[in-house]
Amino acid sequence: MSRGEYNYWQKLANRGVSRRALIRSVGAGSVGLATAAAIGCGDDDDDDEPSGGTGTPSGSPSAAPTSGGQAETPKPGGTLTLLMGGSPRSLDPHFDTFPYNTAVTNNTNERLLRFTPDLKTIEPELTASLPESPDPLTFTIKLKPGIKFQNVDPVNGRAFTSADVKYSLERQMTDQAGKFQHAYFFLGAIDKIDTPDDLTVSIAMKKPYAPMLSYLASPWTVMIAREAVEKWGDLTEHAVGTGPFILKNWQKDVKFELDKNPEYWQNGLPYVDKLVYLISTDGDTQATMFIDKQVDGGVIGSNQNQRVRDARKDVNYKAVPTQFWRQFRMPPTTATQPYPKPFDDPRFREAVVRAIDKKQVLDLVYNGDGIVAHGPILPIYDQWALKEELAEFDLKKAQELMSAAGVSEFSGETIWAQGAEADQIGEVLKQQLAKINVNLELKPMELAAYYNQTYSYKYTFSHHQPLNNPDPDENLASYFGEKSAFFKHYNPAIFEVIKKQSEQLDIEKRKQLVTEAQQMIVKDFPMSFMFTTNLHHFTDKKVKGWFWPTDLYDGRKAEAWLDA
Amino acid sequence: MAGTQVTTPFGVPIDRPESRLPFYVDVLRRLVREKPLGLIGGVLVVMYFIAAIAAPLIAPYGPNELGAGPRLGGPTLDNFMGTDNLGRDIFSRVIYGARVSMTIGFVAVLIATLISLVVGALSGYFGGLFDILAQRLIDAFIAFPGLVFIIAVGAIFTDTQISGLPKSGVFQTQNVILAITIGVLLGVGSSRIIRGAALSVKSTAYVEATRATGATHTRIILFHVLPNVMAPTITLATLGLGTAILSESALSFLGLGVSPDTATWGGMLNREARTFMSQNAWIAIFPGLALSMAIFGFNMLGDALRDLLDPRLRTG
Repeated sequence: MSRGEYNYWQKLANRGVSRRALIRSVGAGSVGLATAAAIGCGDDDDDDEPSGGTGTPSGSPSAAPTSGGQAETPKPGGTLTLLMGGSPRSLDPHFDTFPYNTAVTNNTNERLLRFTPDLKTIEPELTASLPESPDPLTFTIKLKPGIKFQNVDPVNGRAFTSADVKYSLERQMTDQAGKFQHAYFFLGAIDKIDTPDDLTVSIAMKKPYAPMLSYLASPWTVMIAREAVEKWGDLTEHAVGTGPFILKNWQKDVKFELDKNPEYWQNGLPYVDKLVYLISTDGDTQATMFIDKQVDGGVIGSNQNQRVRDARKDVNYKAVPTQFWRQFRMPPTTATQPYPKPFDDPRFREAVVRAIDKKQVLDLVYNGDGIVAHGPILPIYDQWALKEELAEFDLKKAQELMSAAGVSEFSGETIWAQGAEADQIGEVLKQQLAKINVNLELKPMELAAYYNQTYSYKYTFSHHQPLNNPDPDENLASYFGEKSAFFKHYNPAIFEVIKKQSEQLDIEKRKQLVTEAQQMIVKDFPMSFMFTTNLHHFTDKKVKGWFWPTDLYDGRKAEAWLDA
Repeated sequence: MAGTQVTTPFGVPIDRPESRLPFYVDVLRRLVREKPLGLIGGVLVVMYFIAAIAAPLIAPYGPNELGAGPRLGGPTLDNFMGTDNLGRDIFSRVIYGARVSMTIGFVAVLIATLISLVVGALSGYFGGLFDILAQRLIDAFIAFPGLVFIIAVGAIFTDTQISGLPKSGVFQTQNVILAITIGVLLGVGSSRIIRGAALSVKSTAYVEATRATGATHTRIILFHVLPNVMAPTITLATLGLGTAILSESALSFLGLGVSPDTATWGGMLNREARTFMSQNAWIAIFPGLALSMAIFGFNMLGDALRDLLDPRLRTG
């Protein structure tokens, strides 16, 4: 199949579960977005339909779904100008973990597999089909024939081969402190990558690995060319791949310009001649840019979306749940960096968690535009997320726990990446925790400085906005696993359960382990798992073939076209 | 002018002018009679100082008290200026904001006055190489953009904690550093004007006479030069307060000022107002008005004092 969609849950309902099927499905199986509808996929001016846009076959596309759900003949040409709500830090997909980077790299580069925009299924992108898995320790990947890199220096339109897959995956697995933060996707799981021919990749695993397909579909697992790395080193300012758009211009903190790749392997795509991203980090400015028609589409924050909707009735609008969410963290710990006092007493940590009324924070700062989380897996991943609150807000109990822990008062610095809403979260948290005599010394930080401190794993409190993809392993291992990258919480018992779930291919058994791991984490009180908010997508009516991505990772705009 | 003839200690008979009000009382009288805008400015300044000192008595709620009213509520009897998106009382925050602005402004102006008097008076009085070097340094300093200087200093000392100062509140380390930085900036600029005045005083007959009697430089500067440059100093201080408050607000607006849990006018305009002013205009109007009125008050008072204290502009 040229682009075979694969929905694990539908197939599971129709047939028995084989080991092979499980391996193939683990990524997609992680996706359960039943809550999506419940948290705001709705209100709009005249349509609620996602634009689709993922079903275009690899041949010459003759029709694309529109934002209104009706098939129209796409019109080529024009410039699609979009809003980018943050400034990318780097264009190296394996080097950095900042989501705005991918708005560029997911248009210039491609992956072997990808999630559909609703994150419900995994489908091939550069592969001819989903990987074959003759046994739990082997994946065989067949590439689509005829795929070429962009005709730019240093690749000059050469063919994309299995050697590029091997190089890209091995580069992503590079284990250097402070670099390649997505190494944990495959490091310790992949044993060997062979390339028997130009279109075949054979991956030997060290162990059964449930999240394999999900990680292959991650927006960070993009294919790059060895020549680019040899020429430029880290790809912080260069993005060359097989994608539908060629990066032409990057004015830092101002804009990106990408031109159509005229030799793109999918005939007829992309539709627009030029893609421009205008960068604005300020919510009010973003709203004004869309109202003033400086951009054709973009994501508007919770507190500005009503203003935009009041000002412009002639737009397509849709609210979708985001993969971003909020955590209030306590000090990271490792084997050599235990909890400082009084955090070493779990009663103190529990008191902090229970003193936080996350619903109040959500209501006040975001006008309730989101959903409260209960554990380390985002509530939008309904299939895996904890359903019950194990550490609910209970001020009286929090005060009792403080007494039991013998802590009459405590002061600690709280860091975060500064911004209007993030600052207000800090202010509300300070007021809430003051009720148990925990005084937060608020320290908003410039983004780069904040990231530096966050990834030094040395701070007292932090309220952080991470982002997670659908597989539970990414939600668990990258924060609470033995080789976690984004947070450190030293608890060997938790490490063990997280490891077990990643190796468990039976979906029901894995769900039990994932639940067990979440419960252990929540009851160890390393942080308060707060809430996730909604994204408010706006596009001008002339924009067609648009899809409504759940996250900021998915920058694919090849199938968008302008009816103007 | 009619007057009484008296004899000086040196036995020289002179006419003493008719008994007059003390100088500063006279200035106040003339402010009321001749400078209505200056008077309004003065009243505003006094009001702001009272608000700053008595904030806990005036404000009906704590500046950060959540749920003091409905989310984004308009002005009511309970919340004179409405509420922000966290349900905090804007009136209370404006009152407490005055405390931060006035404190930073006052400390900054105190430092500025000290610097301008020392540098300006010494430079003007001694002249020569000292004056040349000092003035070229000041040239270089003035050429540097003020706001950039403040931001740079703030960045350098971002993690500094001065022992003895609280970690939050009006007198937290970052506020003190901010006040010092603004004070240095204002002081260096103002020293030029003080230098000019000192030069003028230096060449007066009474200074020449004092020098002829064998007075030391220190005595001349302390007892003759400084008292005679107080008029421009007071004017500069009054105008400088407005500038200092505006600088603090600008930094808070840029998110570089005091910590978010300290209510400031600039911070209110930055965080709450920019996001929600289209839904609730009051959230921007009141802190903006408080800031504008403070600057207006200090500038009007400063202008009036300049006129009243400058002998060349005296009409009486």
